[in-house]
Amino acid sequence: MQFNYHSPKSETELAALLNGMEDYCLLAGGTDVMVKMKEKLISPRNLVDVSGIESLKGIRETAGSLWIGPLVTHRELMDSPVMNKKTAALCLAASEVGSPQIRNAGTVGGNIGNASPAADTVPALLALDAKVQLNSANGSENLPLDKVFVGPGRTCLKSGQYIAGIHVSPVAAGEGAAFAKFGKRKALACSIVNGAAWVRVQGGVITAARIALGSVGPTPVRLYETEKWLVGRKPEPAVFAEAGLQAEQSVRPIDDVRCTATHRGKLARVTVQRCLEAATKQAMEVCVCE
Amino acid sequence: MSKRMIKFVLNGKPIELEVEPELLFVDLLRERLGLTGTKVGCGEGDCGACTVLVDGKNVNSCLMLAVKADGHDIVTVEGLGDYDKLHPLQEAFIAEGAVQCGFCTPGMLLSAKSLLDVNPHPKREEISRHISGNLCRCTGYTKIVNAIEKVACQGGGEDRE
Amino acid sequence: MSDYKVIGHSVQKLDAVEKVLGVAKYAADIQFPGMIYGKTLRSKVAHGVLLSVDTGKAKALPGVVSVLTGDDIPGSNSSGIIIKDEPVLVKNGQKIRKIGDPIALVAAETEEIAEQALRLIEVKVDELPAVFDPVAAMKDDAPKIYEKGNVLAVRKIRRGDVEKAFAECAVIVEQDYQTQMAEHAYIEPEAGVAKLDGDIVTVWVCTQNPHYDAKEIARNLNIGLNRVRVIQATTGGGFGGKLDVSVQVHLGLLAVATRRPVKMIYSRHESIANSVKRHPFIMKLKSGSDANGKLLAFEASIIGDTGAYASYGPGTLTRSAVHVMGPYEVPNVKVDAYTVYTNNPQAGAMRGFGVPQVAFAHESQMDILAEKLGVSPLKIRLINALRPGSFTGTGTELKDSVGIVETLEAATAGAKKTMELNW
Ligand SMILES: Cc1cc2nc3c(=O)[nH]c(=O)nc-3n(C[C@H](O)[C@H](O)[C@H](O)COP(=O)(O)OP(=O)(O)OC[C@H]3O[C@@H](n4cnc5c(N)ncnc54)[C@H](O)[C@@H]3O)c2cc1C
Ligand code: FES
Ligand code: FES
Repeated sequence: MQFNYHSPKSETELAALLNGMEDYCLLAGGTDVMVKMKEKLISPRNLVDVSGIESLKGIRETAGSLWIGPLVTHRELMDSPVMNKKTAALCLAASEVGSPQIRNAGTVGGNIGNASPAADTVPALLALDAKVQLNSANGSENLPLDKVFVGPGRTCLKSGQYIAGIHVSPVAAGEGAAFAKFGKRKALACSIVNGAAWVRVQGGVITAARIALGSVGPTPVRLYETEKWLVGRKPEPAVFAEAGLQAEQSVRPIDDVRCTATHRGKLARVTVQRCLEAATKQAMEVCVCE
Repeated sequence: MSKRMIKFVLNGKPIELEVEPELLFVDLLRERLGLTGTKVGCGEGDCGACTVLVDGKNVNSCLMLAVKADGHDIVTVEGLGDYDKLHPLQEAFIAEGAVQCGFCTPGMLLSAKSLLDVNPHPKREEISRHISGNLCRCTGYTKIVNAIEKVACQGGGEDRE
Repeated sequence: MSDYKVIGHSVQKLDAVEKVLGVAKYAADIQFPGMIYGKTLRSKVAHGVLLSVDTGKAKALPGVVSVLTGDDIPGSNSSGIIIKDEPVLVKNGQKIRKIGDPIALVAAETEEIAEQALRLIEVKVDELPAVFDPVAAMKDDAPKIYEKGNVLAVRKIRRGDVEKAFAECAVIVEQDYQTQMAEHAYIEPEAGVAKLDGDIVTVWVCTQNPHYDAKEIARNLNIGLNRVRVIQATTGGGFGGKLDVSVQVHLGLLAVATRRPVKMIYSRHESIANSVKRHPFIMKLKSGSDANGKLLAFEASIIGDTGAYASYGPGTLTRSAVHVMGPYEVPNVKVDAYTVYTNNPQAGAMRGFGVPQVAFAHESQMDILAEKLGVSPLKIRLINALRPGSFTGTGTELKDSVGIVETLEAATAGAKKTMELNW
């Protein structure tokens, strides 16, 4: 390992530093970057540690939206009272990442930036309609999260861009969200399949839905077709089962050391079915009274 | 490449030194400061043998650059107790037979401490979950959980110090 | 409970205080002034003949103190707990038999330089077809890993007349079983330090087998045993996996070549890739009983994949053969147990030494037998369990203490306490 280490203290400094810089890698908690450097999968000439930038930290409630700083750790997310109240599924996803040690260091921004198809917070963020704010010296843009991933380990971020914030929609009354993960063990287990669902139920029918799955393809995916199909249907077991079946048929998973493609397909079905079941249950029960 | 000055508190004492950016915190501890109580079992965040506390939270020092210690309060196993006065968790680990080969023990103790310091009376499941990033190949965990539970029942780690 | 001072009581572990304080010295914790670091270059192919090793560039790298190949070994260049079939460093013209076979050693001022030097060593190998399945390896046309063939050892047990007994059985259970390779994954990866003291080589190492280590070092360095000291450092788990040599001989060679203290620590990857494993087994068991469930005949064939080198293979398979009928009395027994070489990682000792594998099989047999007979799993075991006066499958008379019936009864009582049992 050999690199120049930079530790900008503000976003302005970061943007200026990255502008025109070649061969760099951002460093947040380092739980992905350090492993990759040790295994010599990457050897960046410049390591830019963003962890000292205050404006990238914290969780804030804004009108109709929740802002999550990219430096928020999985631990902070799972412990956050406001997030637990408004996006419990995301907190659950964060609580399933790695181990307590990994959750204390690893960040949401890093989970997105690493672009692993198995990233645990990503399906939950997708189900919560997350938008990612990308900043650089040349300006700022907001992208839906699923547009950020272009392949395993690859994001659409252009040189000089960094994740400056993540917006998610809080789960309101009449809405519900759920997350589920299958791993080989209960802790320190990369997901074999993970997924999340969000639904809105009005007058006894589903009026809107978002479903996301991870580890079933080169990037995490939204199941737009099934989401559309669900609209207007009753939240009942046969519908969840059919949605699960659609998920199994639409994903293109691979065989790897953790699981066969066939079994992954079945897990995708179960994941979607269970998440929809839990999400609609919450939508029909929970009243967000403040 | 160019060295950096870092300042941090280690086991209650302020430390100031110059480090290469690529130096890992675990290597700083073991090789430069001679604190070999922190172990390396995997080097990749999987085993927890290298666990240290950063501002009270358990983290893997094998995945942490030494420069990142700057400005933080760090505790290693050497900061828990000594021959004259063992930490209650150290006593309980001995009494309950939670130590076998001992290689996981320093990390396990620190993870346990980080739990009891914020949650002095955890449930058994909470203990298990909190040490889930610390692998032990010898004990089967039961006695480790027993030891931590024993301290919890006595009123948590810090109360008794 | 106990009348003794120690037996029946919990005693404090001798070194527990040092361990909880973090002051116990494991091999990787040992430092000496002027210490250098050793690394091993390993084969990337599973089967082949080593044609050449060019260490020129590695030796020229600043910070490299020494680079050794098979030609630099003064002694026998072999190790192995039962059979000395494992090269310390594969020599030019010799065979590579698995991924990870050691080819060269580097000692350098830092671990990074040593690693860099490994990448500068140029190796040419004539790759041969490999075989990873022990059943395939037993066939006549399989790639020959050893000149004398791939079957390393066969253990046979013959007692009574199995054929005749099976003909008289009311129930017969015949079933195939397979178990997987397993890694010990002791939490401390292999590590050691060697240092010369005059002409005495001292090696501190994590090990379960210091006396064996010393002999292996002496034979390979071609020096007297009186010039080798092996000190077991506090060892972070072994479970049988630290009975074989890892860094010991390599450290001895480097210490003598450089006359400096030298340390080697395996990464977790190197540890898993190169340490011994639990033997994967392929088993066929046939058990027959009379209408009351009393076992009359038992037949088994066991194939144990010992990988590229013997390690404890022949011993493990002997144990398996002896134990495969379980703790049950059977008058007629026929067992064939094969230890077979493949190009897989070598398998050796691991907790239970070949018995856990067969236990899975013989206990499954008993459950199936019980089901066929319509009796409880407990009853079928009590009917057949060894008792004082019983003869084992190998014909040994058990004269006094046999714990199985007592254990089954105690376990049943325990289980009954916690749940409603319907035996
Ligand atoms: C033992 C172990 C277990 C793990 N288990 C899990 C698991 O169960 N589930 C899971 O999802 N993950 C797991 N991970 C992966 C990892 O912990 C997570 O992906 C984590 O969220 C990464 O965050 P980080 O801050 O450590 O990222 P870093 O390693 O610092 O960075 C990761 C990537 O994101 C980029 N990046 C970081 N911040 C930004 C930013 N602001 N803008 C743009 N790019 C940025 C970096 O350049 C890098 O490419 C595990 C890792 C380890 C070592
Ligand atoms: S050595 Fe750091 S987690 Fe294993
Ligand atoms: S005591 Fe050996 S690994 Fe835990």
